[in-house]
Amino acid sequence: MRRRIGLALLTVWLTAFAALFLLPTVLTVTNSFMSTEEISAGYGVVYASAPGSGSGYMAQQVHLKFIPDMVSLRQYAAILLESPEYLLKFWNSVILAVPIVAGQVTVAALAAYGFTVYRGRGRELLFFSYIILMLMPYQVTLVPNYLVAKFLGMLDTRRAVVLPGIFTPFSVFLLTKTMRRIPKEIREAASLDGAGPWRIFTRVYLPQCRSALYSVVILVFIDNWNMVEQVLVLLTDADEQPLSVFLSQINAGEIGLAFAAAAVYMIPPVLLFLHGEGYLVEGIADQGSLKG
Amino acid sequence: MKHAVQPEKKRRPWVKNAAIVFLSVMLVLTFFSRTIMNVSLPEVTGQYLSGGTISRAVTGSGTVTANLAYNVQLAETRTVTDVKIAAGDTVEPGQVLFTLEPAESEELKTAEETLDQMEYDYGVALIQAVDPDYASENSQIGAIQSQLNAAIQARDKAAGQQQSYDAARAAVTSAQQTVSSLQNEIASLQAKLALTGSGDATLTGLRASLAQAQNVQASAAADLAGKEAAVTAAQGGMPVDVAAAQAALDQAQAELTRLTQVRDSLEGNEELKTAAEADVTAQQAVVAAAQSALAEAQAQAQAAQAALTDAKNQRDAAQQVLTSAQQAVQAAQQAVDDRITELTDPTLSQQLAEKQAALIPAQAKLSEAQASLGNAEPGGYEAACDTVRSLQAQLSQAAAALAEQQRADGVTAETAAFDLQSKADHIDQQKALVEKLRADGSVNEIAAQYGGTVASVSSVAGDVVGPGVTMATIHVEGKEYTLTMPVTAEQASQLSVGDQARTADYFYFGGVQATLSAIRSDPDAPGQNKLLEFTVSGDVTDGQNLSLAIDLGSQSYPLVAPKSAIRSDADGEFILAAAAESSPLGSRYVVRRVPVTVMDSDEYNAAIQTADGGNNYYVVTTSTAPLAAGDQVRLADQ
Repeated sequence: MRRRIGLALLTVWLTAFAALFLLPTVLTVTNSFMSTEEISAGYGVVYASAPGSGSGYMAQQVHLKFIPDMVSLRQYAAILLESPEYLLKFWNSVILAVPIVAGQVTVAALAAYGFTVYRGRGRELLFFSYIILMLMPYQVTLVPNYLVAKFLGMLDTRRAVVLPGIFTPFSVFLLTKTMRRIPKEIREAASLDGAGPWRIFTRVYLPQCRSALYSVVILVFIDNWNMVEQVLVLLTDADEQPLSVFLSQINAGEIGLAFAAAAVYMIPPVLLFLHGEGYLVEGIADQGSLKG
Repeated sequence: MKHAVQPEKKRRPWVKNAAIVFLSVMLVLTFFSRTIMNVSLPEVTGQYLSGGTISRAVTGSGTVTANLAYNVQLAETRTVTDVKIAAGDTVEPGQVLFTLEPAESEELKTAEETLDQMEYDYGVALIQAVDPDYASENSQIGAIQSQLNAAIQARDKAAGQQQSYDAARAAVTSAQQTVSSLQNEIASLQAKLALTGSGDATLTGLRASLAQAQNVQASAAADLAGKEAAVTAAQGGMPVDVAAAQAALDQAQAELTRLTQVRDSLEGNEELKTAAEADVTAQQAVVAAAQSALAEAQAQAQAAQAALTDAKNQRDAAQQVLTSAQQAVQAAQQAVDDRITELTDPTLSQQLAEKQAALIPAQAKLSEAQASLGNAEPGGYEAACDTVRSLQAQLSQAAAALAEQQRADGVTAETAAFDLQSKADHIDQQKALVEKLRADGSVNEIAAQYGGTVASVSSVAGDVVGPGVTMATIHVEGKEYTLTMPVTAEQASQLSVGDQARTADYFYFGGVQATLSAIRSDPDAPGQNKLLEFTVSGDVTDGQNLSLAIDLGSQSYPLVAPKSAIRSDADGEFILAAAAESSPLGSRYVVRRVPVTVMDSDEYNAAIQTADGGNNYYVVTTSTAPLAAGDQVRLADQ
């Protein structure tokens, strides 16, 4: 009985927390159906205080509202029908995120396979350096990345963003840990059956790592879908910047469109998450069990 | 294997489909994004503000009309069979405009009938114009003249009678004076004697007898004087108008004779004869009246003559009584004298006897004179004079009436002659009109008198067109033209008559000269608009629309915007400037309201002044949709 009460309390507590975390998302979605005037009236303080703002309704304080006074698709019409730049930036995000994800998964899988299969003197040292690099904040590596990109003449091109994104240590670490968890007997058996290293990698290891791969895809996609700093530093051409940059500047004059833009912006990660939700949980859980 | 992978359970196929749909939609939207935006946003054109020159000019347009126009009209009613022209056509002199149906016009028929009537009237007037006849008047005057002559002879005769009558009266008067003088002397002597013989009774009785006899004599004398007066009255009452009544009768009979002759001369004309018959009948009544008047006058004359005779008889009787009374007085006087003589101084008596003796012959002479006076006739001299004067008046009246009649007849004759001449002239004119109408009736085509442009055609084939009706109006070419165009009163105030205008139409480089000839008030908007009237010459045609401009000078300004960019509302004038606003979604062009003050303007541009003095505004001049400040737009050249 006491356990049940504790469970119930825990459930309430967790539900409250979950609701608290969900609040911004719900607010974004519901407010995206408000008219631009209603948003301006509700968040006029933000609007007026934003640089470059013009005239508009001025409110003394922010009024958080979940229910629109008048449901309107005006925001969606504005960003989807009247804002080619929004759609282009959406595709900019796709163009940046998809190659990074694809390249990173490929490179990371091969690297992890190497860290798993091949044995050598510097293998662990190298792996350790990967882990160190992974632990470092991204801002630390940003300056070297900038210098390298400039050295390679890739500054202000998408390659300056994509290439550093491909060679990110986290996915290598995650996949290495997953592959090392696969018993080497399986590899030996396959080898005895005449399978070569490529076949063993593609036919034995990759299928075993599917959850981890999904996790990597989701995490890397979300990570790069939301990237701001590296784009601002490495890709200053506004026409090629992704939607994430736009959303970071959303309060600079398009407050009325911010919620719909964010709602549409959420759709690809959410779909990807929904598609690979099971693998993501399993893959991360596996890491935990391995670590444990 | 502890961690067997079961990917089949974790797959969610709808998510994949949703992702595909989402991406597809996004792809399609991206593809059409610019198209959709461009369709939804108003497209604007404009230009950046810059300095420029304002060339002020008064411009306007109007229709060129020819100053000289003539109307095509007919002189007679005809039927149009064909119309050869249309409005806007250019015609040459002599070009056929209309063809007419060959027929005799109503005007010709009417004119011929009028001519016939006029000729008939002229003939009638000729017949009626006869010379006047004064025979009756002359005969009447002759009758009066003869009566006058007779009256003059009678008057002269009466004048002789009057002289002898007057002499008789004078003799009577003289005798009466003599008698009276003697009687006075006798009375005086008798008075003296009476003083002497007053005591004598006989004498007194004699004197009483004498006084009684004298009284009788005085009474007889008074009676005689009354009878004399009666005779004179009877002579004066003699009517003298018998001759006048006779003359009136003669005149009426002469007039009756003349009217009878006139009646007899009108045989064949029943109407006139009837009128003359009536006149004759009326004149016969006049004659009858004159005859009755004459008879009455004659009866009155006879009655008067009888009264005169009676008065004379009574006068003669009175004369006899007087004579006897005088004799009695003489006898009494003799007796008295005798007695006095007997009694008194013989001297006095002697004187008395002498006087008495002298009295007797004097009285006898008086009686004789009275007798001769009684025989003398006064002769009716005054009446004869009156008759002569009356006849002279009649003669003068008749002569004056004849002269008046002759004068009136002369005027009538002159008027009749004038009327006849006028009728003859009118007949000649009517003949000319008939000839002209006959000649016009043979013309079945109407040709243009002058070359020009047909302004309007108001007749169609089949129309029956009367004289004076305008069938077409033709503006004559080669003359000056007029152009009228409305401007505001403010614009007109900057102009003056004589200003030269240039053509504002780009395809006219020259060849047209326009001069402002008048500035009038616009009847459609008096007080607000004026009408400018130009005299136009050169390469223009009637009915052409022409735009004119009169330059008023130019001035440079730092900011000049197209006039179409200047807008105004309740807050004043402003421009809409398209400004690029950089947003996270990219550069957007948003129109902003910029208040301006218009300093000057011309036909196309306006000099403006903005509060911030900015000259880098991209001014919106045209838009595909109504704009308001804050609207997002797209630029036509981007």
